[in-house]
Amino acid sequence: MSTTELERRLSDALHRHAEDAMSTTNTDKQLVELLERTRDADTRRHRWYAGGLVAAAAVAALTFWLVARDTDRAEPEPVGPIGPKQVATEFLEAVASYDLGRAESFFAPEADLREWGGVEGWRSQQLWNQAALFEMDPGPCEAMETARPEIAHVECPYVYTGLGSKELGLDPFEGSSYVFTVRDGAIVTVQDHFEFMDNSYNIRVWEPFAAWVETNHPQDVDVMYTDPGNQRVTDASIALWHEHVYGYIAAKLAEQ
Amino acid sequence: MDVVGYLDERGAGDRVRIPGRTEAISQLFVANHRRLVGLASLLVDDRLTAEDIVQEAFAGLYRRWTQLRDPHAAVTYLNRAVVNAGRDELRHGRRVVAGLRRMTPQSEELASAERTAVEHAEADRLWHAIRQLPQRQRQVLVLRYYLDQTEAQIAETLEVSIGSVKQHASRGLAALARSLEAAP
Repeated sequence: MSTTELERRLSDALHRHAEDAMSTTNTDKQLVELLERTRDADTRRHRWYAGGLVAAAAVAALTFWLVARDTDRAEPEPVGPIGPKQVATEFLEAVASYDLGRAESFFAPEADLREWGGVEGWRSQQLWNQAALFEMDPGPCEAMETARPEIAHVECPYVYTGLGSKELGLDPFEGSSYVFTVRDGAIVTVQDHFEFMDNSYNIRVWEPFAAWVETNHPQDVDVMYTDPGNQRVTDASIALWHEHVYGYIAAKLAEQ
Repeated sequence: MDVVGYLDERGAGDRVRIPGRTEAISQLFVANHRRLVGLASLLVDDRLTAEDIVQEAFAGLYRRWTQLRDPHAAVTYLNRAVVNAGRDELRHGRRVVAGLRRMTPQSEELASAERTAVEHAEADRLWHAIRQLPQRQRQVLVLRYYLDQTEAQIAETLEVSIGSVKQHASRGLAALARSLEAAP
């Protein structure tokens, strides 16, 4: 083999191997990690911790998301007879930690989840929440008596962060609540009264992110959004939301 | 489709703005990250380690930004930091690899890359031969045939003489030729 031929093959082998690594790294996510880490040299130790949290959260979210997609759902553990407030509280704790199997164990067999698109729709929505880095912090639940003792309505306020609002230094957004109908210790209806107008989430987070996507990833808009501008919840959409949230955080941190 | 009901139309203003350290490094990161991960992957033996090395290189650049004599020297700094860290990692990695497997499970991407490599047996043989080279020879060949650096640039990156670069390149190519000839 001539030296020239060897050099050609060497160059080809190196580029092939490098391309494998390049095609599987996520530059946006890595940049977020770097920026969190170096954001403030004076509080570097703190930033390293925060960067680690962001990275760990990202890895945990992605890992869970992939596992949740690829693994057969475990059978829910039976739930003992507990009070309506406790049912709602434990359900929201499970939702907040994205322990979806446990959360689903609180649903009654006859639960009416039509407005979510059934259990599958509810689960997809949670996966989207997770991909978009939504974090919910539930407050104390309050039970409301009804004419029928076996049925209770329970309301649980919560605050949330999402779409990078926490990473960009915004406080949690208030004013939302979950309302449940609980019968015989199981959830039969669940409504999420998600507040996004009065608390300025729409203006401060949702629309700036949408504008950023429209500018930087116009080809993905139709996959990520429905016509009225709501999120589209599909496998392809969820993956794009997850990827672009990191890109958005990186871009905004770089501007700070 | 208009997904935006509110847009900030204040604009960037008329003044020409000089980017700050974070913005400049972010731009460098976006422009160079993938290439550097590719480079690092040629100097160590897995992508996750390569990503760590590139992170460290940019973190080092951030810390030294004000000492940089010229912003254009940043890319040279990054190349050098990745190559040097790759050398150190390889030393450390080779010392511990026999006793301690990496805790991170092998990714599907790596498995896929390996399947691709199987399909390209010749490139695979060559890559394994590259991995067997002494570190300095491997570095010189990667810089020469991946980054297309000149001998003078390689000498600057590795902080060695041009004569040393020529010597390592020549020996490295000879070793690769022998490996390929010895293969069935």
